[in-house]
Amino acid sequence: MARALAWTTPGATKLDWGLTVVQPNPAAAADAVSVRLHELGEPELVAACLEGRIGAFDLIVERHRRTVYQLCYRFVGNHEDASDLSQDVFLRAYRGLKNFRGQSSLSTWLHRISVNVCLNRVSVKAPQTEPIENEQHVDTRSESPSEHVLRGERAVRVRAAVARLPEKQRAALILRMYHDMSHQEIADAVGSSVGAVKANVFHALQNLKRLIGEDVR
Amino acid sequence: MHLNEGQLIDLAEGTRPESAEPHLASCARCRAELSELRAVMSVAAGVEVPEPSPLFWDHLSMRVHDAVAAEATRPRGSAALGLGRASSLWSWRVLLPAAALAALVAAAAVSIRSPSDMGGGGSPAGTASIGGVDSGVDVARLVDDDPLLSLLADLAGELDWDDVVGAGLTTSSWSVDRVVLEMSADERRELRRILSEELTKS
Repeated sequence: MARALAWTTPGATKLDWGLTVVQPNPAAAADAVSVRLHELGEPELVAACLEGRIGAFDLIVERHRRTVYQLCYRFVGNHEDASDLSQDVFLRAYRGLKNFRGQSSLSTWLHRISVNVCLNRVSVKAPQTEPIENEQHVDTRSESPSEHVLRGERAVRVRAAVARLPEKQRAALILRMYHDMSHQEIADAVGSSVGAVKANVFHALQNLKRLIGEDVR
Repeated sequence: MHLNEGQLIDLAEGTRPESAEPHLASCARCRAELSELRAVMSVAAGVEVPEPSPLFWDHLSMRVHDAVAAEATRPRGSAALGLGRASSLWSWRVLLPAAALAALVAAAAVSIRSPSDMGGGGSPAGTASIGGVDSGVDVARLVDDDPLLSLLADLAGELDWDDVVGAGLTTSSWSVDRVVLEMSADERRELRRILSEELTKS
């Protein structure tokens, strides 16, 4: 218990002789640490992780979990595998954090790990794409029921087609189209050249057109 | 000469203006190819990943947190090797009997070779003290006569006394003696069989 001269604050006890007993508040202290972590930029957050600050890596996960999951989902085409892969990505990121030099953004680095994890997984396991009825969370207010069904079926078909592309084409297409990475960043991520990445995107789109056929107008 | 894959992708993505490729104006084939690329890009770009349950994100964070916590507490060697769930189960199956065996051997080493039994604790050298009372048993002869004790003595022969003490494997000076000496012939045979079996496995 600490005794100090202080203004009375909520939760503090005012004593007769004008001293205020300030009760330590672990929750408030934790909030303060959390707030400070939230204010950190990527390099500082990585440094905090390496220093062993509690919650720093949790915050990295919180910031990047959606994009990592979406990338994994596009690779494998189903929630279960995407969920497992996402966990694996973050675990590998945790192991390799000491090697992160900050030459690329943390998200680009995580994308690179995601691609490697996904490529390793899909090479040993055929993708199990989602059933059509799994299409969900779609804003249907501006379309008729038949339009909604058609759109849902097309989305499932496109995702399944993407998940069936050859690995390098799939990686190039997903990173370029859905994660806005430059050709150079993709080349760095997959250990290839810019020319090869463009060729892979080109062939991915051609194969996609063949796989989804009549949907391309 | 027709546009190559890279040029078509740059045009389709809009990173290069059509005016930069004069060939396009005069080649119907390249224009058709570009048009098809743009169409399929448009279809693919509009397809989002289904949004999982709102609870999923916290669940994922928790799974990662637990996995990282387990990683942090795992011995460095196994973490570096990327040992997974299956291998940890395997290691428990192997390590548990191995640890039991190691403890038994260490205990035997302590009992057979501890300083108190080697003249420092009141018992004559070479005799066992059971329950603090000199039994008058000749340990050397007992070990030679009993294959189980011989096996334990051989296994314990390489152990260093200081290492055993340092590892916290010391027992009271009479406990293992008493347990082993009180075993029936059948119990000793069974213990010998189990130990031999474990040693064969390793």
